[in-house]
Amino acid sequence: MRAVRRPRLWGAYAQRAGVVVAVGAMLAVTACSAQPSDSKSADGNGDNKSSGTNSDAPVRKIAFAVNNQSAGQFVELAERFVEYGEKAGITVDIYNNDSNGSTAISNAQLMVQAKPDVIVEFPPVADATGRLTSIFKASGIPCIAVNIPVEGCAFFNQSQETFAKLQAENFAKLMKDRGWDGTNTTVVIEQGSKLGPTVNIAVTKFYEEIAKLVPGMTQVKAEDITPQTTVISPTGLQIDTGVSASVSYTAFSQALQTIPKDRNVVVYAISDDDIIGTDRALVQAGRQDKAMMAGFGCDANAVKGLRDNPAWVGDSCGFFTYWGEFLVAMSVAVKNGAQTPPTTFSPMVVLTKDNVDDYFAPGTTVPKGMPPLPDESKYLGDTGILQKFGNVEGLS
Amino acid sequence: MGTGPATGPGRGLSVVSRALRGRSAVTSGVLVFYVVLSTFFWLQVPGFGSYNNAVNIISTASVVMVVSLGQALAIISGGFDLSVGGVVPLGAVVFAQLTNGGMSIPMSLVLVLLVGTAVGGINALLIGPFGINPLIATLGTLSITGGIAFTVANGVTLQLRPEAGILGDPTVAQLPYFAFLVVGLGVFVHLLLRYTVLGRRIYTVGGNSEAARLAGIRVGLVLFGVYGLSGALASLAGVVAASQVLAATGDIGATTTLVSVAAVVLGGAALTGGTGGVPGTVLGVLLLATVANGMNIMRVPAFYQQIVTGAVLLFAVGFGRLQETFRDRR
Repeated sequence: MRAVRRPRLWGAYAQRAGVVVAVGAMLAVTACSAQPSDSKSADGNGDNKSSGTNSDAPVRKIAFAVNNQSAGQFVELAERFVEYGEKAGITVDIYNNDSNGSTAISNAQLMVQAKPDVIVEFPPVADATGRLTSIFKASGIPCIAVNIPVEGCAFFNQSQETFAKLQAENFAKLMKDRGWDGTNTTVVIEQGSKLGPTVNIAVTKFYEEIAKLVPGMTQVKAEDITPQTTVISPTGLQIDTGVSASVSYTAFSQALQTIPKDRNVVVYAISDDDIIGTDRALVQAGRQDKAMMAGFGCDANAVKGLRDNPAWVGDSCGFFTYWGEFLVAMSVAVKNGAQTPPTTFSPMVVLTKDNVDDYFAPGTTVPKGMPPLPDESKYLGDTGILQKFGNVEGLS
Repeated sequence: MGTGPATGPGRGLSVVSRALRGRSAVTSGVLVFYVVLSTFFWLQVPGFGSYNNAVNIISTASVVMVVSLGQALAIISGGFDLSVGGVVPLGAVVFAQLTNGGMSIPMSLVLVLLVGTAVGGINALLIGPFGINPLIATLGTLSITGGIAFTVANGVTLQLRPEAGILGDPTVAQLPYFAFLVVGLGVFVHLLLRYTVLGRRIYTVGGNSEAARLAGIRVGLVLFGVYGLSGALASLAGVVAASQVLAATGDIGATTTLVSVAAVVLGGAALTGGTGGVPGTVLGVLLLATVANGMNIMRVPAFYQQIVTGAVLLFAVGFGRLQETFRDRR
């Protein structure tokens, strides 16, 4: 019997010890996570007047709930936001929404309790922001929503429609140069069906715009292309690539089976990762020379792709990871009662093989400057914050 | 204690033989279903029956196939390996970082396999000596390895040097190298299960681990073999995934956990352990990949694909079990 019991007793002790260790670890983690995940300030008093901004009401502290901290672009966005705040003498506290609606609600309450001067919210879930509105409204703290609107908050984003139009013009010109049109080309748009229309309008609007510009293409309105649409028209397909290189590789490899080999292929995706998978599928199918593609996000892979990959001909660039500097400026403006437009836009440009080195230092993937602010966002320049960083054309 | 038929070596052998009989009944049911489904796609979907599309199905099924071979071992042994959803991306990003850092491909591959085996070893330790339920233990390591994968990649997409993606390059008859690797691994795991002492002990432990222990089988050692192999295979699947797309991310292949469990169960394994095998698992993976491929070519929207995949899973397993029931009655 002893031989049977000994391991059980040992196992029981081990389990108890494990429970004690786990509870201890949980308490430690809980204690840490009750604090914002990042918090830095350049000077002790954090008075932005002393740092030379043009604002009247001081902004000492901004609370920023970022969509998640598991994807590189969001990590960079948050880190740079903290850095820009530091340079402006403002503390930026980061909260991680973890791509989860209920975490966002909990963070909203934590942010309100921390009594910042401005709350900046990057909601993780589209069309489910009602609870955030009520929390922020009750607190009386001015708020800014990023990427997904929150009622009652000023809104900062890039314009998917503007990109769609610019990208369609880019492709239309290249297609004309190569003699491609609706008779010999299939346009494939790559969506993330679960991300909602706020994101997917980028590609559905693109199809609408390019169909207007390229002869022989069947015209379809963006609102008629739903997440369930797979065949847009005889000249257009939509596939679900889920913002993932591997999903895109699989979905595009299979879509290629249905596109005759003599047809050219034009691809526009909602992310650069999708284009990486698509490119691999094209190369393996031996069809890269009859393809042109563009992604969204201007990450390092896109900049390299534009320089080295003949098929990568464009990338929609809203300088996402640099939004922190605009959000610092917008926070100061909002705190001082500035009248904000329905959407404050970031600087936007469609990167091409010809202009990539104008915005990214040659041979590197480091941005060296951004195009001027769109008209509705010019008020950000009045805060004097953007001039401190000297990154935006016309505001150095 | 301990000398009746329930605990002796004879009990272990009968578990194995029953496992093999039951498994083939369910597998043949799923095989019939697979043939019917493929015929339907063949007749209804232009291009489905082309050679290129066959290569396509094999290529896209490869990552899940490698993971499922390991998952089959875990399920047959009476456990689960949920950690594969973290080990696949971990293997992919470690391979990308090592090869991008200038390390040779074979050396990088060895290190990736060691990482996977180490995770498997930790799983075995948690499940064996510590007595933690496999579901909970591997759920914990899933979270840890997934987090480490994101940390190693720093959240960004790591592109591979073209030469590091050699496994994904087309070779004989347009099949990528990894397709041959997958076949080799399938044969290896099949032979291991059918013709080695370890294989028979895996079935015995899965059938009744207490009986196996009392019969003198070192259960902890068997579990180490099972989870170590499962971890190694999952990390190798990460390399295959990275080679396919020439890139690695912190979430590449993260969905393989449930798909691999589904494939193994489709192939005739019971979640209670003691039954299952490689032919059924291969069939399960191919069935899921073929359904996805056929629906993509038919241009079925993604939301409906999800519904159909679930229905096919239930129908195929139900069909197999029904066939098994009728056979038992006779």
